[in-house]
Amino acid sequence: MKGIEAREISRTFRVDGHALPVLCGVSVAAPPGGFVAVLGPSGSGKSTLLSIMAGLDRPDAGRVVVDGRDVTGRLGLAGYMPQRDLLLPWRRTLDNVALGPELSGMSRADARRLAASHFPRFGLAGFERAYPRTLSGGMRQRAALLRTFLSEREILLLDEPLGALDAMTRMDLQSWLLDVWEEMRKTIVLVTHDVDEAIYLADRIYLLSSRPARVSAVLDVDLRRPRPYDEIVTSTRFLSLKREILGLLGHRPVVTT
Amino acid sequence: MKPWTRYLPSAALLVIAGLAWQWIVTARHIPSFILPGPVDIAQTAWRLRSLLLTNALPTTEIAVLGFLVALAAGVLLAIAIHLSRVVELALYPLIIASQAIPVLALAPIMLLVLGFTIGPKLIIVALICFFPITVNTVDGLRAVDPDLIRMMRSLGAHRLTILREAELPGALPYLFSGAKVAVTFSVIGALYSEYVGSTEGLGYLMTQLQNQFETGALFGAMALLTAIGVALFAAVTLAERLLIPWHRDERAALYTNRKGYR
Repeated sequence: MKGIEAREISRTFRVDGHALPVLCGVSVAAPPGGFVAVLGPSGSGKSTLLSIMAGLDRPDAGRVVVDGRDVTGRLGLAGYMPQRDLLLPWRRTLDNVALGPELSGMSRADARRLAASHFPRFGLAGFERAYPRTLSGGMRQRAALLRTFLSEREILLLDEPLGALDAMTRMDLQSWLLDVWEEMRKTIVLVTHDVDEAIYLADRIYLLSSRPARVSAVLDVDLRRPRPYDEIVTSTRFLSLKREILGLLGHRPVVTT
Repeated sequence: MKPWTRYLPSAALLVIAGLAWQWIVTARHIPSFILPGPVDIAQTAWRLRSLLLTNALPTTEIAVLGFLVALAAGVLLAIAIHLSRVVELALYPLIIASQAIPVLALAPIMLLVLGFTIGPKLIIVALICFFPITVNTVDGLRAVDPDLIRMMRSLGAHRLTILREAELPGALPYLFSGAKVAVTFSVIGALYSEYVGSTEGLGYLMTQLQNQFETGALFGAMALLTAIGVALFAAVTLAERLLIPWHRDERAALYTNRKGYR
């Protein structure tokens, strides 16, 4: 199992000739098999950080390290999932999921077999031949997550994967995501602006300040696993962590762009 | 709505226009070699049906083959433009300029250079039809969600894999929009190609009929030409439905959502 580390990442964009510093020496580390959340206000550069860790963008300074090796700007090491499900409308649901292992070099037939074997576990049984358009938002997101999980990467970078869902579906998918993660054991870096989601899912939370983002706090979430949703989110420890984080966020004005 | 009732309004309009036309021609005693009425045209066309149909065959053949050449060339051009900025800069202005070429004037020159084969005819048709295919396909290739491309790249997908799995399928609806425009042009193109240097086809026949003041038969040929155009358009629409069923799905869903049920 591999872990992933972002070390002292800085990134500045040029917008209309002006320098716009987005990340300022941000360090985030996910140990092998760990679940790490990066929590910050919107527009704080969380997605930029994830793009850099995925190798899609290069930092101006700093390095991305996997297994002790410098992999800055290298693609194909981690499975990256943007916020929207991005299912291909012309592929049936099974073939959409199979795209994950296919892109990793598996034959179409094997990829389909692998995908089909996970459909019941992901609550997609019976929808193999349906086009994505006909699926509910929750199912589309589960299909997209399954595609990412089956991409044969040990490291997954998830950019607000549940951000577009309604509150109830979101709760369901959060506990479901934990179950799946405990079964399939991946190293996960999850970007979110939902405090509850970060506490409920992660072992460790990196709190980003508003732009230019720095790591303003690192919190270890010492909640037991497995985590039954209703018990955990109403526990005193959960609430005290939430109070602590809200306090930390409250010290800085939240600027949205 | 039943399928055939969709065509009722346009059929009614056609009948009304035909009646008005017949009435004007009869009331004003217009001689049929100047402007024949619909009844006269129908009679003449029926009398000359075998002449019209034998000449319709080569015209249809040139229109279809020329359209297929345009389709292949148009899509290949679009892919080349999409993949390479240099190709785009080199070709796009020339492609636009090619649409300003007066094809009617070009036709005799091409026949002289290339000889009296089917080749120059296909080039003329293709020259007229490839443009909407290329322009639409380029737009379609560019319309793919950039996040989708990022996702695929992060998994190590090759440039051509992204083209094959994401960009080309995504461009298909655009390609078909262009193809529908192109296929209606193809009939006009086939006609042009037969105006000069041809001994068969509706284009050739029409120049002959014009010289002989056979206006009724001329209108018959025009009606036949229109029917060919409509049939080719229908064929492309059918191909679209068969090749991109997911797209129809999507449109159907949009439609029902707008109507407020489902």
